[in-house]
Formats: sequence, C-alpha cells, structure tokens
Amino acid sequence: MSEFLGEIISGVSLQHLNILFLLGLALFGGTIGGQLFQKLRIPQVVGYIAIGILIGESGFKIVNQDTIQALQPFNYFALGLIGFMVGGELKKEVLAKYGKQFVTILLFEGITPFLLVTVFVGVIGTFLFKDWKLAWSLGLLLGAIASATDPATTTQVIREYKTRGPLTKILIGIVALDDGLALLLFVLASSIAGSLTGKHQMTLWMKLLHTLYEIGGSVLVGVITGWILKKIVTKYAERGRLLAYSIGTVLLVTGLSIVLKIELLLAAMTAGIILINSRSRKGKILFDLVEQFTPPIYVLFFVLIGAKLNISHLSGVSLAIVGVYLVGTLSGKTIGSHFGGIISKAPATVRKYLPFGLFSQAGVAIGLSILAAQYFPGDIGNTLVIVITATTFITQLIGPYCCKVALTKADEVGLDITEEDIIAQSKAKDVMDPNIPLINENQTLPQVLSKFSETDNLFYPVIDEENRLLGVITIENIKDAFSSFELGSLILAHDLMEPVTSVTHPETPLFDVKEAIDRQALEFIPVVSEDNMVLGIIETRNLQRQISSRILELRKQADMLG
Amino acid sequence: MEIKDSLNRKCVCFLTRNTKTEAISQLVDLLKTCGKIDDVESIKEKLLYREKLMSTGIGLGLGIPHIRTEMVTEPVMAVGICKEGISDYDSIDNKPVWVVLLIIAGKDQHRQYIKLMSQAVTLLKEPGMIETLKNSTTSEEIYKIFAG
Repeated sequence: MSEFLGEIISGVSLQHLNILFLLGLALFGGTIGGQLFQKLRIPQVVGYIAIGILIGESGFKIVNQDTIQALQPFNYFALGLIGFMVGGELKKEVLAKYGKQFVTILLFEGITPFLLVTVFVGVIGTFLFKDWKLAWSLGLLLGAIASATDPATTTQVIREYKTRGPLTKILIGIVALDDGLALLLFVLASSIAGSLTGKHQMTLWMKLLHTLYEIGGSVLVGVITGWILKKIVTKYAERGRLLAYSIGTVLLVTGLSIVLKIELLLAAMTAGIILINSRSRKGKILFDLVEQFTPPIYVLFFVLIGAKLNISHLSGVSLAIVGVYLVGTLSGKTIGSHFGGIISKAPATVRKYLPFGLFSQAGVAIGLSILAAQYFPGDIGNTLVIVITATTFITQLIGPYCCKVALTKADEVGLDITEEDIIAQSKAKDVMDPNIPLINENQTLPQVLSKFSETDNLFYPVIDEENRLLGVITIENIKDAFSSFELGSLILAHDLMEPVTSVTHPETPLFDVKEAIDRQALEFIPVVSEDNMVLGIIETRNLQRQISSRILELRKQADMLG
Repeated sequence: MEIKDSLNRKCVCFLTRNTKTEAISQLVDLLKTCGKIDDVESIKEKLLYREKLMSTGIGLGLGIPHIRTEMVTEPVMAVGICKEGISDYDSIDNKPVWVVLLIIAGKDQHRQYIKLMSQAVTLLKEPGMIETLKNSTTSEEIYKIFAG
C-alpha cells in the first residue's frame, strides 16, 4: 500500500498537472480572488488578474508558458465573446444618439496619447539611449499602442456594476472602436519608424492596404455571420438551441478571423451589432442567454491574462520608459477625452469622468507589441514588449478600479438592473405588501364583504385573536357568498377561509420566494414571522408589476442623465 | 347539490339531551353510526370551536352548526329536533333552539357548503316550519320535510 502511495505521490509535480485541473484551479482561485476584491470594493476583474499573476509567470509558476500557449484558442474564444457582447450594446438608437460623440471623442482620446507618448518617449529616450532614431521609433510605436483601450476589463466592470447612462454608452462605443484607430496609428508609426531605422519591410501604402484588409475583412466576416445567425434565430424559440447557435457563431467568427488574419474583436463585434439591430426581439433574448454563459469564460480569461504577465526582465531604462509611457498615456487619455467631450458637447459626466474609464490596456496592446517586436527585432522590439507587458500589468490593476470610480461618480452604477438582478438582490420583506387588510376569523360575512369592497386586494389573510395566520380568503371564496346574503352572521371568515399551502418569512431571499411561487403555481404567498404572525402578503400579479416598475424607474433615471 | 343528496334518512333523530354541546355531540355520533364520518372527537372539537367563535343559533329556534374539513369527501348533514328546546344555544334572539341542522362539507367544497346552508335557511325560515318540525312524531316525517 505504502509503495503504491509512494509511487503515486512521486509521480505528481506541478509540471504534471493536466490542463483540466489547471483550468479548474484557475476558475476556483479566480472566483475566490474576485470575491475577495469585491469585498474590498475593487472590481472583481482585478481579483481574477491578481490570482493569475500569483499562479503565473510572475508568481508561483503553476501555470507556465506552455500551458498558456496551449490555452491560446480559449483566449481567442473569450475575446470573441467579449467582442460579440460589446456589439450587442451598440443598438441603432445608441449609434444615432451618441455616434457623433463616439467619433469625436475617439479621435481625441486616441490621437492625444499617441502624440504625448511619442514626444515624451522620443525626448527622454534620446537621453537614455543616446540614439534619437531608436528613441523616436520606440516613441512612435508605443504612442500608437497607447491609443488602444482594453474592451475586456472595461465591459467587465460595466457588467459587474450594472451601469447605464451616457458615460456607459460612450465608454462601450470608445472601447469598441479605438482598436481600429490603434491599428491605423500603428501602421503609420511603424512606417515612420521603419524609415528612421532603415528597416523597411513594406511600404506605407502596402501597410495601409493591409490594415484596410484587416478592418474591412473583419467587418465583412462579422456582417455575414451576424446575418446568418439573425436568419437562424428567427426560426427557433428553444433557448438551448439558440445558445448553441450563438456560441457556434462566435467560435466560427473567431476561427475565421484567425485563419484570415483579421481583427477578431472587430469581426465578433460586428456580428453582435448586426444581430442586436435585427427587428426580431430574439436578438435581445440571445444576448441574455450568452451573457449567462460567459462568467466562467471571463474569469478564466482574466486569470490567464494575469498568468501571462512577466515583468521579471525589467531593467532601469525600461522602468524609466514604463514611467514615461504611463504619464503620456494617462495624461493623453485624460486631456484627449476631456476635449473630445467638450467639442462633441457630451454630457458633463462624460467630460469629467470618461478619462478614468480608459486607463486599461491589454490584448490589443500586447498583440501590437509582439507584432512590433517582429518588425523591429533587437533593442526596439525587446524594450517595446517589456514596456507594454509592465504597463499592462499596472493598468490592469488600476484601470478597472478607476473605471468603477468614474461610473460611480457619474451616478450610473446599478441603473442597468434586470429582473434577475432585482430578484437576486431582494428579500421577501422588500416586495411584500405590509398594509394588507387582515380579517379576524370571527368576522361575519357582511363584515368580510365590506372589507373586500374597501380594497382591491385579491387575497385576505385570516388571523386569530393573536394575529397568527390561520388561512386566507380569496375572491373565489367570496364569490358564492355574494348571492347568499341571507346567511348573514351564520357565515364567518373562519367558514370561508382556505388553508394556506405555503408561507414565507421576511428575510427569505426573493429568489427562493419566486421559486416557490413558480413551482407551486401560487397566486400569493403570505409573509409571516417566526411565530406565524402576519407581516404582509406577496401577490404574484403585484410582484411582477413591482419588479417591472423598479426597472422602468431605474431606466428613467439613467435616461435623465443624458 | 340539494339537501336530499347530503341528508340520509338515518341521520335524523329526536335529541335526548337539551344542551348545545350534548346536542351537537349526539348528531356527530349519529353520523358516525351512519358511516358518514370516522374521527368523531376531532369533528366535535372543530364544531365546538366554531360555536365558540360565534353561535350558529340564527334565531327563530334554529341552530345550524357547520364546518368544512378534510375528514369528509362529500357534504353530509344530520338533523335533530329537541322537543324541550336548547336554552344554552346562545341564539341571536336569546330564545331556545328546537331544530339543529348539522352540516359538514369537504375542505374544497366551498360552493356546495354555502348552497346547502342557503337552502336550509330558506326552507327553515318558511312561516310555521319550525312549529311543524317541533310537532313531528317520527324521524321519517322530519326527513320528508327536508328531502322535499
């Protein structure tokens, strides 16, 4: 036995942990990390990334480069889902209302950090590297990358805090579009850098053509797949099937984008835009379905992002460039988005708080840095990769928190609540009618009828002398008694009442109450204390109305913001 | 649902006791003898609890004790005539009760329950009806009045 156990234990090492186990570990650890950070009022996404850092390259190395490489398709899939869901937010009405603001702010918040980072790195790099060509080439490339914002963390914060309003809409629009701008600026920057360093691989026109292919191809793939999915969803109503088609579409878009070497985020986003803007109401249902499917995918995605970050090779010079890059990016985003907001006459909350929502960088930035390293091997490439990795490390930790602060200050948190959220957050006491008319069991039929005529309730709890619940009288019970008025005092509430099949308590989560109502097809449920005293009643018809009016109230509040 | 559907001719009697509790008890026992109910004690308890809430003596010498319970599946009735009159019935007119009509309906037989009570009250409030019942000499005579 001990020999057997010894053999088993000696065969186990961190390197031998299989991918499924690591995925489980990442998902578990990430979720716990998210919860811990949530308790500290820091967005959960930071917790996921922090756990990734802990188990990854910069931490305990439980997840190594090979594993991360093996899981790369999974990351693409997560990015595809993020793009698809971002597209789902861009309805025609949103584009019509905020379109001008999107474009103006996008240009300012993208180009300003580009210019500032280029100049800052160019000037300071000239002193550090003693090579102005290298410094300005690096500046241009870093500047282009600085214009990109990470859509993944931003949308994750928006999702976690259920935000709704002009700042949320503009943020989604900007993060959806600024990758495209970053690509164009990168083409321009790499051409100039190529001329400066003498490493011309492609002409500017060729590169522009290439970028046009990437953007155009992405849009085309997105339009075609979105259109096909739109046609499919109109034919089916079964939720499981709709979800399978949607996930299938995201996988197809992702796979096609990789094969065709186009922008998968843009392609998936376009598919989402096409679907949400179809006339069918199923588009919305479909996005709700996919949203329910995404949480574990996102947790894993962010844990893997954290695991991938390796800043162990940071030198003094690189550290200085990291500082300069951060100052340039953050000030550029701040100045650019503020002026973009003023020029496009965006609401005050957008002008004031948008910059704080744009600090995160990740996938696109890292991708472009790797591309740049291929174009410019040597000092420029190496410095670029290490600077972007280090700054991604920092912005991924501070970006989501800043984004949360911005959305909170703009009063948009909690305004995008769905029926499920209200149910999840409420208790029975929050939705019960505490002013329910009570009927004593010894009240006569005329007294009961008079009580019914005074209020519009459908259910009346019957109580004993000590206010304890005995039963309930419904409209159905009383209907037959209307024609038997001659019975007068012969019939009491006691004779009319029905037994209560189910009760609930004030602190019971509304989710459990709703589940009991649905399972037993209840029309009402009395809320009682531990000693069975009636505290209120929840009528199913009123519950639905109450939830809907709460949602409408929050939406109205969001619409009033701008 | 008519009274005759719920009243068995064997469930009609002349009451030998003249207190409310004993009169109700005798009628419940009679229903048990007729095989209409099983748990006699529980039904008595429920009927007396109901009387405690408010007396079913509705005046004119008439008492209609009644309950709904899961212990029966069909409405059942029993009639008792007390020649001496039950003076502790606590009727709304403070007069003795001569005719006691016991009604037990199933828990979900709301409509039949109300209908039976309504029919009984209409019948018994006919002028001279209580006198006729008081002067009856056989249970068959009483049964025929109720069964129509």
